[in-house]
Amino acid sequence: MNDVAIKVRGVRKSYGRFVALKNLDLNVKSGVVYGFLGPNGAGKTTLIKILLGLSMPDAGEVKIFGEDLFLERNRILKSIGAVVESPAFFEYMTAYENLFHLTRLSGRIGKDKIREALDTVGLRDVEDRRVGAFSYGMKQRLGIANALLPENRLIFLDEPTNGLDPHGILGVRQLIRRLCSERGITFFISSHLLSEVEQVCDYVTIIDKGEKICEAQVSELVGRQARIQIKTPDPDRISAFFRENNIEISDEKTHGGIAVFLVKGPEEFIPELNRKLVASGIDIMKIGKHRDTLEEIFVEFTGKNRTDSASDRF
Amino acid sequence: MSNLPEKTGQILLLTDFELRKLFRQKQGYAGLVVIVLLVALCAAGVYMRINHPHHGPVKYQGQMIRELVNGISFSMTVLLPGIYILLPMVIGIFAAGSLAGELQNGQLRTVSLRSVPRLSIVLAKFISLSVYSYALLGLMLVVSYATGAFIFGYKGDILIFGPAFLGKGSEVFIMSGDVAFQRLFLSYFFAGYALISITAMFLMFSVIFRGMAMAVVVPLGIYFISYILGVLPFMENIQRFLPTRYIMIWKYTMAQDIMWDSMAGDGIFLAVYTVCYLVIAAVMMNSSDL
Repeated sequence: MNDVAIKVRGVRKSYGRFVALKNLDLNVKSGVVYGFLGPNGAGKTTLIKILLGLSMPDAGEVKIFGEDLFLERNRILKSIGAVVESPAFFEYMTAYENLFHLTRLSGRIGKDKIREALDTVGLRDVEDRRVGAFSYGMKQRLGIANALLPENRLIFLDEPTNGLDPHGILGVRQLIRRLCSERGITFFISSHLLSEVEQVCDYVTIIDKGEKICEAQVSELVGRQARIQIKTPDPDRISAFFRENNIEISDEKTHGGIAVFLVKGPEEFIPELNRKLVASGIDIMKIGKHRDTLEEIFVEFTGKNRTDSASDRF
Repeated sequence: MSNLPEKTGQILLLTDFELRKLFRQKQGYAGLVVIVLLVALCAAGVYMRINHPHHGPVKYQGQMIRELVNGISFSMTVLLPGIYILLPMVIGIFAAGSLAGELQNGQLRTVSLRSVPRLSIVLAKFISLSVYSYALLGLMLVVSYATGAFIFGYKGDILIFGPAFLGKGSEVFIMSGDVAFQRLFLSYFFAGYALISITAMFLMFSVIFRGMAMAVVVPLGIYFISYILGVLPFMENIQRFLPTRYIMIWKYTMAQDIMWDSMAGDGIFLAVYTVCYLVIAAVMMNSSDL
C-alpha cells in the first residue's frame, strides 16, 4: 500500500496566454480527506482534470499511488472515481442502468455492489427511476455512488455540495467522513468554501490564480486564525479599552455608528473579555468567535486583497 | 498485444452501451417516423401517377407503367430520396448528438472517467451508428417493400430508367423480377456502406466543434454544397474530390450488368474518406481536454 495517494511535481497548464496553473506541487496522503481550496477561476477544476487524465499539463509529473498517471492512466483509473464540474448522466436511463453500464467499463461488477452503492447515497428506493426526473441533489448523490464503484480507493469531488439543500450538504459531508474512516478511501475535494473544508477535510491546499499559497493541516490553519468578533455602538471607548489592555485589533469596520472589531485571541478568552467590557460600561451588541472567510485567509497569506470581485466573497 | 482481448471486450461493451443509448432515446424513433412519412408520400405519389397519368411532356417516359410497378420497384424508388437527403440528415444529427452532444453536456467526461481509451469511445460510437444506419435502411426496405407490395403487387419485372441513376449514356431496360429482388438488397446494402462514411464525417466534425449546433450545421452544409456542386455540369473538375461523389455507390447495382469495377473504385474512395474522418476524430479526441 502506497502511503502517498497523489504526488504532483511542477504541474503547469496554460490556455493560450492565460496560465491556469503555475508549477504546482502537491502531496496527498492515503486515507485522508484532502481539501483543495480557492476562489472561482483559481485553477481547482483544471488540476482535478489533470489528475484524472482528462486534460494534459504543459509540464510536470503526476503520480497516483506511485504510478505515472500519463503512462498508466487506464490501469490507474480502475481504482479512481470522480465527479467533475456537474454530475452528467444519461437522463433517459434509470439510476441503476447508468451505474451498471458505466461501472462495467472498469471491469466485472455484481448487481449487489451497485445496489449497495445506491443504498450508501440513499438512492436505493429510486434506482428504477429515470435520471431525468432526479433533482440536482439526487444527481450529485448518484455521481458519488458512481465514483464509489467498483471499489475505488481514491475519489475526486469537484465542489461536491454545490446546488444541494442544507440536508443534502450535511448528508454528503457525513458520507465523505464515514467512507474515509470506515473504508479508508482517500478523498480529494475542491471547494471555494472554507467552512466546508474545515468541517470535512484533514488537510488543505489553498490556491489562487494557479499558484499554491498555503498547504496545511486544517486544524492548524483554523487555529492560527483565532480571532474574536465584537459588535458595539461605542467604537471610541472600545478602541481605548483595547489599547489600555494591550489587545491587538486586526480589523475594524464601522457603519452607521455601529462598529465591528476583530481582535486576536482564542475562543476561551471570550467570557473574560466580555466581563471586562461590561465592567468598563461599554455596550456590547454581539461577541463571539470569528470564523475566517477564505478572503480573509487570502489577505493573511498574500498581504493584500487579491480576489477579483465582490462575487468572490464567501 | 496481450491487451488486445481486453481492448476488444471494452469496445464491445461500449458499442453495446451506445446501441442501448440510441434505442432508448425517444429521438431514436424519429428516424422511423420520417421513414414512414417518406414511404407514405412516395406511395401516394406513385399511386396517383399510375391512376392519373400525366398528359404533358414526361421526362422519364414509361417509368410508371402499371404492370412494371410493384413492391420491388417502389422500394427502389423510395431509396433515391432516402439516401440523397433524408437518411444522411437523420444519421448526421444522431451522430452529432452522440458525440458533440455528449461532449457539450458532460456525459462523455463521465464515460472517460472510466478505464477506457478515447479511441475506443470513438470507435464504439462509429460502430453503433453504423449498425443504426443499417437498421434504418433495413426498416426503410421492409416498410417500403411491404407498402409497395400491398398497393402495387409483391413481385414482377421492373423498369429501370438508367439515365436517372447512371447518367445520360445509360439505357432504359426491363429487369426480371428475380434479378430485381437481388438488386434491391444489394442497392440497400451499398447505400448503407455510403451512410457509414457520412456517419464518420459527422463524428469528425463533432470532435472539432464540440457543440451540437456547429457539429450539425457545418457538415450538413458541406454535404449539401457538395451535392449541389456534384450535379452542376461546369463543375466536373472538382466533382471527383467531393465527399458526396461516392455516396451513390449503390447506383451501379441498377445497371443491366452490375458495374463492379466502378463500384470497387468508388468503394475504395469512400473507405479512404471514412478512415481519414475517423483518424482525424481519434487524434483530436485524444489530444483535447474533456
